[in-house]
Formats: sequence, C-alpha cells, structure tokens
Amino acid sequence: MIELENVSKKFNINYARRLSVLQNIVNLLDGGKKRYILALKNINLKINKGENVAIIGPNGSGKSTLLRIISGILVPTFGNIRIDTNITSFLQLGIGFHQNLTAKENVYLYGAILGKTRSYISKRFEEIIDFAELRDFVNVKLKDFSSGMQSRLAFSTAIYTDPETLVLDEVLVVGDLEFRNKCFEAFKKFKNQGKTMIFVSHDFDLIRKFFTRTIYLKNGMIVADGDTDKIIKLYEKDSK
Amino acid sequence: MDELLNKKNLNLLKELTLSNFKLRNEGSVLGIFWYLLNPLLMLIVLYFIFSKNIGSSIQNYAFYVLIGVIQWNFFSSSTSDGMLSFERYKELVKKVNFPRELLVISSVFNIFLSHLIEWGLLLILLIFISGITYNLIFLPIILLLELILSLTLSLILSVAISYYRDIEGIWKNVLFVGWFLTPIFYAKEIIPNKFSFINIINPLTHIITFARTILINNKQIDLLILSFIFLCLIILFILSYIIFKKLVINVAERI
Repeated sequence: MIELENVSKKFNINYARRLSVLQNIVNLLDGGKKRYILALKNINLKINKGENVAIIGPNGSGKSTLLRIISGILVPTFGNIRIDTNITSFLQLGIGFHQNLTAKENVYLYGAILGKTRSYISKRFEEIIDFAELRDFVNVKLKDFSSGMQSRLAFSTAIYTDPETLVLDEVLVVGDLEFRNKCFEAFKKFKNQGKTMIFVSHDFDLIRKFFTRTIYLKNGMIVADGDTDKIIKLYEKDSK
Repeated sequence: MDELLNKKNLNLLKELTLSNFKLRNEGSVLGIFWYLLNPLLMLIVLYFIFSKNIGSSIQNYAFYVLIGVIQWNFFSSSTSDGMLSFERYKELVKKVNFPRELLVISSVFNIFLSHLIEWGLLLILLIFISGITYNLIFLPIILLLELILSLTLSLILSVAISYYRDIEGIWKNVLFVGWFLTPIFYAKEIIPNKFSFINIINPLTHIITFARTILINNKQIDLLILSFIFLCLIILFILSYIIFKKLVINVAERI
C-alpha cells in the first residue's frame, strides 16, 4: 500500500543552481528573498496493493514530481508518506548504462542499480537477452547499439528484475511498434500477477487497456481521481 | 549502518566499483605501468632536487619519498573523485532511489584498487632492494586507516558540494597547502617547534609515518599511538556518516 497524506512539495528555485557562498551572502543582504514553486499541493492519495493507476495531466502539472516522491527520490516538504511495498521505478530507461561496456556488463550493472544481485541476474540472463532480441550482441559494446536496441535492453532488464510495485514515467514512448507490443506483453503479465503499477503517460489507448483507475493532475493538485474512462473524458473536455 | 551492509547494497557497490575500474583502465596499452608513472616521475624530480640537502639526513630517501607520494596521491585523488560522485552520476541520483553513499564509497574504492596496485609494485621493489621484516603485518591496518580517512572526507565533501559549489575550489586549495604541510619529501622535524601541532593534527602525517616506520626503519609501530589514531578516525567517520545521512536527502533536487 502507498499512502500520501497532505503531501506538498516546494522547490526553492534558487536551489535549482547551486549557489556560491558569496551569492548566498548577497541573497541574505537582499532580505533573504526566496522564490518558491509549489509543484505539489496537498496531495491525498491511497493506492492499494494490486491496483493499476495511471496519472495524466498537462506538462508541468507535477506528475513527475509525484512519481519521484513515491519512489523516495524526493522527500515531501509537508505531509506524510507511508509505503509498505518494494518500489522499483523506471523514470528513465537505461539510467546507469555505460556506452563503453558490453550489453552483458550493462545488464549486470543496471540489474545491480535496480537492486538485484549478480546470481539473480545470471539466472535470468538468457530470458533478458531473448526478450530484448539481442542474442547476437551480448558481447558488443553499447556504443555500437542503436537507441532502439538500447531501450529494448534496458526495458528487458528492468522487467526481469521482478519488481513488486512498478512506477513508470513515460519511458515507453521511445520505442517502435514492435517495442510497444513488447511493453503490452509485459504489462499484461504484471497485471495478471497482481502487481501494483503506477504509470504516467499521454498514451490514452494504453491507459484504457491496462489501467482501471486514473488520476488527473493539474497545477500540482488532484483534479479528479477515479474510473479511467470517465477521467480521460473529463481531461479531454478540459483541454479543449 | 547495518542497513547499508546488506547483500543488495554490497552487490551494487561491487558492480559500480568494478565497472568503473574497468572503464578507467580500458584501452590503455601501458596498463598498470601508468599507476607507477606519476609516483616515479615525482620521485625522480623530488630526489633530484632534495636528496643532497633536505633528504641527506633521511635514511633510504628514495623509498621515503615514494611511500609519501603514493599515499598522498591516493588521499588527494580519492577525495577529489569522491567529492564529485553525485556530479558524475547526476542522472542516476535524480532518477533512481538507492543509498547515495554507495556512489561515494565506490568512487573511493575505485581509486583504492589502483592504490593497491601501487603498493604491490612498491613492495616488490622494497623486497628486492632493501628487504622487509615481519612488521609488514601492520600494513593492512595502515591501508585501512587510509581508506577510512578518505571515506570520511569524501562523504562530507560530496554532500557539501551539493550545497555550495565553492567547496570544489576550496578543497583544491586545501590539497595544495596540504601537499607542503605533509612530510612527503622532508622529515617532519623540519617544521618549527612552534608549529609542531601541524604534525599532530594532520592524520596523513601519522599514517605516512607509520608506513615508513615499518618499511624503512623496520621498527614496530607504537601501538598506543596507532590505536589512538584509529579510534579518532573511526569517530570522525561515524560523525561524517551521520551528517551525510542528514544532508543527503535533498541531494536529488540540488544537483
């Protein structure tokens, strides 16, 4: 279960750039004026085990911030968050990949980043490579891969780490049709296994197919939360 | 701290360290020779300039300088690298949740691996040229001290630099001054009595002195001093780890 209680996230836009000591002193003399952005305002949210939730909303509505808070990368400025599940987040596929390492080496490294040991990955290595369709490229350096091949490898490694709760941020838009079908395949499998999925996307077809619940986010606030078809209609009406 | 040492984290630490070590050494023809090139060049220069004056009263001056140089090099590169850990793994820090200290520790370990190679080569030279004694059993403890010192500073620096960019420039200058205030190419007695506290508070001076005591003078280390330094470094390490943990939660939005 994932539970957010009155969660707000404030970004100090001065922090966006690291300041030098001198600039800090200047700012203090300036009356300590600081400018903030409230990226999330008073979010109350409960996601039960096995629920599949999509998050939609215009750009800058706080979708990614919300995912990063759920993933534990950012801490809320106000409010509480309770999580009693193991979350694996893919906010970007292939993070930590090194162009100068081979596909095989990268799979182990990426697996480790996602919290899996070498022996665990070894057992699944063949499946990972088969799913990514990169059998002939196991010992080829990543720099000689096309970007599509790299995403396939990353996605394949990611789904075979057997996550308990999956948090995805528009990572799947990069692939071609074939890759999309693979994602469908994986989603179906996760759904059947009763895994919790939280997914940010603009791909309404995909959302309708796999996600029963949708949350509509706007200006850092939850506008609506409920049945997918209803919420998507509301969002489409809103955006006109 | 026991949370840090689980199987999952140790595995990630191992993968990060080894893949980085591999990447760092890839495509180099001379391989491990590179690790000795810089210390050897420094040795040649320093020996050339100082062996007739500053070094004339020092026993086995060449090894004296070499030991100081490789230990200083480890200290300086590991802290400089460790300090920039989050900078180097910006994407990872912003997009994946895992114990952030693993990045800093793996940066230091990565340099430590090449430091071990330097020590290995140095020991081979020592065995052939002047011989070594059973005092060598203290060497692992000295290596451990070096490691703890570098980890302590790297943890603090890495998180401090996410708050203040200036830390990088400050640390460079501290290292510059430190090179002269650490007895690398001179005997520590050269520092005037009035300023002898510098020798006492500089942990690296103690560590380098320990190494020279067992390898050049073939004497036993004063166990009282050794345990005292060890204790001090452990306390500092724990303190820096606590501060690191407190400040690191905001690192994803600061870098």
